[in-house]
Formats: sequence, structure tokens, C-alpha cells
Amino acid sequence: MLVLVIGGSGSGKSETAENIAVGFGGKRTYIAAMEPFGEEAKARIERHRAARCGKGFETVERYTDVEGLNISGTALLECLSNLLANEMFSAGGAGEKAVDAVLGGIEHLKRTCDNLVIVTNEIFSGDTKYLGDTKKYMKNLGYINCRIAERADAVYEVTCGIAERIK
Amino acid sequence: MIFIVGGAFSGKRDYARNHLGTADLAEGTESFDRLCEADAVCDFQLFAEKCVKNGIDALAETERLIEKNPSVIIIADEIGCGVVPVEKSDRELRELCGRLNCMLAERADKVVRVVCGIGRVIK
Repeated sequence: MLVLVIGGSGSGKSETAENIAVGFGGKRTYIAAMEPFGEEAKARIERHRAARCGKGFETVERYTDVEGLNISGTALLECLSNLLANEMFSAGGAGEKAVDAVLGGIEHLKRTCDNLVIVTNEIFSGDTKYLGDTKKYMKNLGYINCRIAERADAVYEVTCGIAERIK
Repeated sequence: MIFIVGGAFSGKRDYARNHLGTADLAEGTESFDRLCEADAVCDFQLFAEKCVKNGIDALAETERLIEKNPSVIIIADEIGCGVVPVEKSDRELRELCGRLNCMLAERADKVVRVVCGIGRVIK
């Protein structure tokens, strides 16, 4: 089962995704793609960690190269926006091949896991006058979202903590 | 007229191609005559921007377009959900695009909202 969860910042998409993953039962792995840069990121990671506590996830931190992971059971990947940014802009990332690296990693997880839940971010409905790297990043994330949604068994859009199944 | 709305890069054009059989997609920045004969007009927010730049009433011009091309598919980015822009002209354009989208949705026989390439008919 492949499930994609999309929502804006603070929309409750993580909780939705966690609950979906818990519903699958069995061994659960949380793949954390956010690098703990600075206090803000650390605080956010702690908040997510506390929210997940007791839900039975083993946490694996992985900022790039998801294809190199060896995971089975149910995996929750959070989130595509961080993973793509790392692949595009981090020193250890895939750079120009970021889109292939992300999609390849997801294909790999889909093969090795029984269930894969992926969280992504709605960043596309604000100003479109972004230039350069930001625009490229938006275009890449939009493309990846569409490709995963095509393959997904279920897609949820989360607004104000309310998840609507759109596929 | 069919109106397709959604965030940037959300798969709106592919939706028009794959689900509505649209072959001839024009850009909102192309000439008015071209838009009058196209199956679909994309990036409609750029049509609005062009109108503003040329001192043309975008709402009236849109009315005129729908009149001349009543079966057109209009595709627009939702640009109203971010932070209020710093520049006054950007704020005005953003507001105008929102109003235009409302008008288009009201006029349309069908409105489709696209997220991750998935279209949902909301009218």
C-alpha cells in the first residue's frame, strides 16, 4: 500500500500520516528527512518525536539517499519537501539528479516495505513570482508529488487537522 | 466554460490533456485573438497581469474572452494562500486574481480543483 499525505504547514498532516501507518500494524519505521540545523529545526524535531512517542515507531534519520536504506514492514517518510531540499542543496545530495534520487528512493522503499506512507508539503498556492533555485525546487516538488500520487493507492489532503481522501 | 484551479506545478495542464482531451493549450500571455480560438488558456494569472500592465480592465476582458470562446478551458494558479506581498502592485494583482477566479468559477459550467495531479470537481 502506498499512501501520500499532503497539507500546509501545521495542518496536522504528520498526525494523519502517523495514524495511517499505525493502522497498518506490524513493524513501523519513521524515516526522518529533516536535518537538525539550528534551534528551530531541533525544536520541531522534538515536537514530532514527542507526538510519535508511544505509537511504536523506530526512528531512522536519513537526509539523502533513501535508496540506501534497508527497511521492511511499514515505513513513514517525513517529508518529501525536506528530502528534496537536501538532495538539491546539501553537500551530500544528488544535486542535478535530485528528482531521480527522490523518486528512485521511493521506488526502492515501495519494493522493500509492505506499506509506505509519505508526507509532502503544500507550498504551491502562494506567490508564484519566485525565481531561480526556489522556482526550480517548487517545480521539482510539484512534479514528484504528481508522480507519487499517480502511483499511490490513496492520497489524503489535510486541512485544519481534517483529512480528506482525494484518491 | 470549464475552470481548472490549483497551486503552481500541481498538474493542471496534464489534467486538462488527460481528462478533458485538450490538445491546444495557449498561454495567458498570448494575443487575445489566439486565446479566442484555443481549447484552453493556461496561466490565467498572467493574462490578468498583462491586462493590468496595459491598463485594461481584466474582468471586462475576461468577459469578452468567454463571450468569444464559450467552450474554453481556463487554467489558473491559486496564488492567494501565501503571505501578503510587500509591493502594493503585487498585492493588487493578487487580489484581482482572486476576484477573477471567483468570477470564472461563477461563470463556469464546471470547476475542477487539482492537487498532486488529482482533480476534484468542486462545481
